[in-house]
Amino acid sequence: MSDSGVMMTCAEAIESIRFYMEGELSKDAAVLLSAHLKECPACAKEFATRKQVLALLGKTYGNKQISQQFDKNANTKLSAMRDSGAR
Amino acid sequence: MPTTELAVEALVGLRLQSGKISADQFWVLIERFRADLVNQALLVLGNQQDAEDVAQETLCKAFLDLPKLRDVTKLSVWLRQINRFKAISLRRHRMRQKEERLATGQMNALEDGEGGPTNPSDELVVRAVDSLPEAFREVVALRYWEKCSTEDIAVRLSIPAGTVRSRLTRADGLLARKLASLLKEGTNP
Repeated sequence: MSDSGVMMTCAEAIESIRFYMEGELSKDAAVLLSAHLKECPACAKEFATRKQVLALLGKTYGNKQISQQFDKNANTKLSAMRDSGAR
Repeated sequence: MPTTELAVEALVGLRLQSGKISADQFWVLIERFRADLVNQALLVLGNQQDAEDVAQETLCKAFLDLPKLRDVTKLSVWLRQINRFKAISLRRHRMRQKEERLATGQMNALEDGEGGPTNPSDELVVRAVDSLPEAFREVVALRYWEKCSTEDIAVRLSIPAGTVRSRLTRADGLLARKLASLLKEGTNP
């Protein structure tokens, strides 16, 4: 429970983890999450697991992004396919 | 499926079946699928450039063959079938090329092979993402391949931002279990 007496449920805590890690959680919600994790071993364990998953996702996809030329290249291929009549 | 998504699917269906859709309109309509297709092809090919080429060819073929698609709600499944076939074909082509170069002495057997996964850890993650059910795979692909914010994903998929958040949360849980299972498989002989 936080100083204000407001509590976060386990479901709310789980839903907050990703957004806490990505810095999208409000300060108040982060305080509530932190308080919940101190009192709930199951959610604390889930926090640790999801932190690892998010780190792996970040590592794998951090440098990957769909090319800005994707649609342009697709259009070029489409023109070539139409011209050749190939499918 | 939420009502908003049904509405989008219905709209897409009407536009596709009218036969009057332009290529530019098509690229906009299928924007939500392209990251998933690149991810799927990457798993087969291990190279982003090849994966993008395959996804582009898949989308071109889909555009040209649109009249053959009877059930527009199966658009994603149809695209993934085409994409997988094309990715496997390209991988076979690359392997044949490699064998020819090895046979003709143009390539040393110890050279780093082409077409393999980027690295084992990345391959596990890409495989885990590809194994997610469509609704979850889609939001994860948009988040990581297109670097979309929650609000951007909500707009692209025509669903509420709260739904995007809950799907990402569910996806994280599913990914944790899938990765644990893949790691276990990898350590067992």
